This record gives sequence, C-alpha cells and structure tokens, in this order.
Amino acid sequence: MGGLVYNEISKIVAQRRFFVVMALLTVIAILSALTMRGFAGALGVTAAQMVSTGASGGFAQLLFPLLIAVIVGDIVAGELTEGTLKLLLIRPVSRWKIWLSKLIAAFFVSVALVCYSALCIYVALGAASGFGSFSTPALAEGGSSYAVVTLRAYGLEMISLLSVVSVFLLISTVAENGVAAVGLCMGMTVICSICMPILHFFSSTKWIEYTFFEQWQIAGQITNSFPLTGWTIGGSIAVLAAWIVICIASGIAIFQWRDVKS
Amino acid sequence: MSAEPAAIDAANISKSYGSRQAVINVSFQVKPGEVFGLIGPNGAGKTTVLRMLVGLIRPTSGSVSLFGHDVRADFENALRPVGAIIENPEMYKFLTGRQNLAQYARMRPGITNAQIDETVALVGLADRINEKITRYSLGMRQRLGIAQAILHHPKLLLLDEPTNGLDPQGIQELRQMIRHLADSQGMAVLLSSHLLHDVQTVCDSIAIINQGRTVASGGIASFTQGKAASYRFVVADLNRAVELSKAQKWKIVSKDETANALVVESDQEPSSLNESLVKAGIKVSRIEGVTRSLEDAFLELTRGANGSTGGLS
Repeated sequence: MGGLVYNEISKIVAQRRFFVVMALLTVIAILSALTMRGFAGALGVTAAQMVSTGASGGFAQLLFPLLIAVIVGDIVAGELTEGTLKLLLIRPVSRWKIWLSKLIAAFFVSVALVCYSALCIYVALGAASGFGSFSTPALAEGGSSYAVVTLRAYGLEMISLLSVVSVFLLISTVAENGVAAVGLCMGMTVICSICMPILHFFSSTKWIEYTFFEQWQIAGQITNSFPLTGWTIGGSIAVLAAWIVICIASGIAIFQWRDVKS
Repeated sequence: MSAEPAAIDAANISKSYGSRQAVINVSFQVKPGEVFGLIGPNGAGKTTVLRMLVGLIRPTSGSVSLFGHDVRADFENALRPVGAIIENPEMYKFLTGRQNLAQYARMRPGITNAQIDETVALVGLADRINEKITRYSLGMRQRLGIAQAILHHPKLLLLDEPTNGLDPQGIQELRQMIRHLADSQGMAVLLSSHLLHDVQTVCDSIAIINQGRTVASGGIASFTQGKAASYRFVVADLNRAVELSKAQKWKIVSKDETANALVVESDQEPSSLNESLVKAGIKVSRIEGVTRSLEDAFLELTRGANGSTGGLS
C-alpha cells in the first residue's frame, strides 16, 4: 500500500498545475494576511493569534476545496480519459486498494496544502504586524494557549479535508471525463456557497445543516466562527464522518464494479 | 486437475451492452509456452475479449482463469504472472519513460533497478528513457508499452495489436522477441491482430473471431492445410469447363475469364476432372495445385453477415 500511495502522490506533484495552485495559494494567503493586518492592528493581536482563523470561514469552505478540486478532481476520471487507468488496473493489485491509495494520496497532498497555507499566513502576517507568542492564553476561545487553539482548529480542518477529498473522489469515480470531474467538483463547491446562504435565508429546515458543505467549516467551532447554532464539535464530526463513510463505500463499490472500456 | 493448469482458460465468455452482444460464447485455451493468435477484422470483439481476460471488463456470463486462478474471485493471484498491453499503451505523459516504469515496478514486490535497465535495453530505449513521454514517437511508446508488460518476467503476455505504430524493422524485432520469449523462457503469449501476417509467422495456434463469435480455432497448420484440395485448371473453353466441373461435383472457388482459368475444390483426384474435360473436347493446357493460405481461410470465415461458416475446428 505504501508503494501505491507513493505512486499516486508522485503523479500529483509531477504535474505542472500542482505548482500553479501552490503559487496561487501563496499569493492569496499573503493578500489575506495583509487584509487581516488592519484588523489585527486595531485589536492588537499578532500572527500567532490570527493563524487559526486560516482553518475556518472562506478558507475551509471555498478556497481549499476549489484548489483541491484542481489538483485531485481528476485523479480517477483523468486516468480513464487518458487511458492510463487500464495499465494501472492490470497489476496484481485489487481495485479497492488503488482507489484507497488515491484517496490517501489526495488527503496527504491536501493536508500539505493547508499546512503550507497556514505557514504563508503566519509568515506574512508576522512580518507585517509581529509574530507574537503561541503561549498567550486565548481568552475568547476558552482560555487555553494559542498553540492549543491553533492545533485544535487545524486538527478539525483535517477531518474537513478528508470529507472534501472523499466527496471529490466519488465525483471523480462517477465522472467519465477528467476535465468534467474537475469542473463538477469546483462547480458543486461554488454553487453550494451561493445556494446555502439563500436556503438558510428562506427556509428554516434543519436538513441543510447536515450537508457536508455546511460542516466543512468545522474548525470554526474552535475560533467562534462556526455559522450554525446549536452544534457541538462531536455532532459536526459525526456528520462529516458519515459523509466520509458514504463517499468511500460508494466510490469503492462503483470503481470495483465498473467496466474499463477506454 | 492436470499437472499444469492452462495459462488462459476462457470458458464461454459473453459480453453484452444493452441489447448489443459484443462477444458471444467465446471459449479457448492457451497452454503455457504457447504463442496464440486471436485474429479477426476490426470491431470483431478482440479487444473486449482481451479486456475480459485481464478483468478490465466483467463478462456478462462465463469465466476466465489464468494459471488456474479465477480472474474475478482471485484477481491478484490470477494477474501476478501476467503482463499486457491493451489497445494503445497510454502512459503518464508528464513523467519520463523511466519514471513510468518505476510506477509499475512499485506495484509488484522485488523489481530491481537492474531489471528495469535490462528491460529498457531489450526494447531498445536505453538512450531515450529519461525523456518525457510527450517527446516519444508512437513506435517508442509502443516499445515502452512492451517494456512495462515484460518488466517482471511474466509467464503470460497479452498483446493487443502490438505492431500498431511500429516500423517494419520494429515489427520484425517484435516478432523475434515474442518467439524468443516463448521459446527460451516458456512464456505463453496471446497476440491479437487484424493483420494475418503478424499472426501467421509467430503463432502456434489461432482462433478466428468475427462479430463476437469464434468462427474457427486450432493449430496454425489446420488452417493452411484444408481437407479439400484446390486446383487451378487453365482451359480452352471456360464456360463449358465450369458447367462440367459442377456436374462432376467440384466446387468452383473462382474463375478468371481473362486467363481462362478456374480454381476448383474437391476431395476427388484432379486427374478424374482432367479426364472428363478432355473427353468432352475441352483442351486443358495446365493444371496446378493451389495451397490454401491463412488469408484465404480468414477471408472465407469472416465473410458474410453472420460469418458462422465454421467447419475448421
């Protein structure tokens, strides 16, 4: 399994678009750090205190999913379009192992992407308005140190990322075409970000809160920026875990049974 | 169970897409060390059969075993001794030739770098192996495709139209390589092609497939030595000779009016027809035996709407 995951990661990072996405992320992280600067200056907070917000809000719900879609949205469908899938599937390795290795690789790369984003924010904001100390108690977030708050926020973001890549891999498995798969992953993310607030506005139904999209902001529970009321961390984890299990089970089932004709 | 299970045992495999039947009850066996040709016109179902052999496509009915392991139930063991090219060997264009081979090497335990180098040298890509695939010609991609198929010294090699894109010299080298691998390493090879010449020169046995059915199969000799012999008669009066031959129950294979020649087929002696022709006053200037080529057998078997003439197996 280690060799399989290594293969998949090497295929992701060998493509030029991986570096394009990383460059784009650098620019966005620096720009948002600079916009946070005025805010941080007014409140008198430092980079160490602000970096945890990079795991929630628009980062977690829109920016990371869109960038991840570009990198891994075609991880299954693209190989079908390019015809490389057939040479991959005639090895003495069961299909479910190949699918799972793609999921693990996509998750690793996504985690790396988010950690890199945090680093960019920390360095850019630190250079602009001081790095500060992670040992300062975070009074608004329950009194533990900012080190703990930051780790907890990014830890929950990892669960969010696992559900993002699970949903995207399922889409990539169902789609017959690599470009279409990336488009579907990005389109779904954008449409959710437009429709969900509208649905919230016009409807009081509770089901919207159980969608993976709403729960992608799980790290907001640590930084007091979670948009839904009445949710515990455990509740959010349970919803995301259910989505992860559903997506992995159906992704593997479809991949295992499908005929590879191209 | 016999001492050594067949390299390939395809038992009554069928595949339908909706109401269209792509492959209908195809059965054949390939023994270890045998070079087997699967031939048929384009669209006959060869690639679908090959995809079912390696588990890329699930048969609607029937089953495939490779060295005694069922491809569906025991996929990993069935595919372990197998190397294959299915249609064009598309590889990762953003990687170099060597990086591509390394991908496949990591999917099996125990493939060394020396083994990769040896395979690269064998297919003649040593000086270009560190270039990206985007810069490879079709022939070079085909060679790299062969390299990934033989990297792990398989006991069974499946090659789907392997001469596509190769120049005449490359085709010649490939044939020699296939024969060499089969003879020296006891490797069983299944070769699919629509080109008869590909198959005729290297295969021990063949199956002819048309419109999803096996129309004939057997050792290569059984195709070229038909039971009925054909003879070419050059005569003075072609039309009367044709009528007389028919009356004597000879089958007219073809007639050539410009050369005043007819080709007839029967298990009777040609001297009896000659005698009748001469008695009827038709001068016979020449009689020659016509050997049936694999191409004749192929065209005969794949002609017509259903192609199920059979009879040779």
